[in-house]
Amino acid sequence: MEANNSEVAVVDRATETLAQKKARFERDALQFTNQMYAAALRYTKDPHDAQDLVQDTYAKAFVSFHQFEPGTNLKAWLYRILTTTFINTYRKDQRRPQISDGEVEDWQIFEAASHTSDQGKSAEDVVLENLPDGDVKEALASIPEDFRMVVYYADVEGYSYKEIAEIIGVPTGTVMSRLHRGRKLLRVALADYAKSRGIGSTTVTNAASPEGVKP
Amino acid sequence: MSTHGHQSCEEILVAILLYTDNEIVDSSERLSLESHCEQCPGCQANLQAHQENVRLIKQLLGGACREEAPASLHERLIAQIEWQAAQMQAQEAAFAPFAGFTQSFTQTIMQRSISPDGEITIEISHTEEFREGF
Repeated sequence: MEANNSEVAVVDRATETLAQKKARFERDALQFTNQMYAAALRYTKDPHDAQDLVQDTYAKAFVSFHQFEPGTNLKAWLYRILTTTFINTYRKDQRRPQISDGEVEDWQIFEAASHTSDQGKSAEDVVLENLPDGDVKEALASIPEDFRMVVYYADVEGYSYKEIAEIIGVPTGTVMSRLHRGRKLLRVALADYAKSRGIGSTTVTNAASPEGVKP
Repeated sequence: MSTHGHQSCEEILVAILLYTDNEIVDSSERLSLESHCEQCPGCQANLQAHQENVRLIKQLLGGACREEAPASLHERLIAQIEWQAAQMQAQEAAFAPFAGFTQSFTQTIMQRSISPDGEITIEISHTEEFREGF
């Protein structure tokens, strides 16, 4: 075995010692703590729960780190564990009606798409651009989790439909429909925040129709 | 509903969503959408509006959702990994006397399926794995 401590291109997980595994985990996985925390906040909506969720996620990730294929997307692998940990532990007691089972139909994607045409670079956009971060976070938190997390992974993390599908464990078609529906719900929620602050109430002429907010 | 090129405006509407998310990998499909939009003011407006909407959402979320984990969380994680590694080390030491033993694992999976015309298929797969030590 090479006694070279610097970057080892190929990790032989079969012969790796515990100390080497630990060092590799600390070096490669812990760098994503901030991103895991930000995503955990989207799931739990509470800083304390979010910290516990991140800690549980890393505990599980370390135990199964030998299963992670080096060279593949480690951050996405951690997000996958974060998601299952949240579902299995934090969501267990609060079985609320998720929209996941009544899947979003194609016509809803189409409807979401067709409504974007009257929402161009409008006065509303200008107002929304100046919305405080706190309002943006609350608007995102207000939309159902299934939509919220897909929008988060796509529009904050920049993941592809396929990557999101792997993280949350649904087909790519479902990711697509949730993403477009989610963006539409978010847009409505953002406009509501802008209006409740009294900004844009006179300039908004093309506010997105609220029919999409039905549970 | 008009048609410019091979695709109808209805088809373009859904393609716009994929296009904006860089989900159309086929370059000829991308070109087809672009040329349709060049000739069709309605679809062009849809494309621009959708791109602008996604850009705005990305900008807002990207700016707002970048919380940093508190220092105490970083410390908790490091302490936890130390603890887990120590537990694993202790476990390894406990099993060390048995190093060199060979363990075998076998798994047999049987699957039955019945086709609509009543044909029954049985598939049996068997795997064996041998591991040195623990």
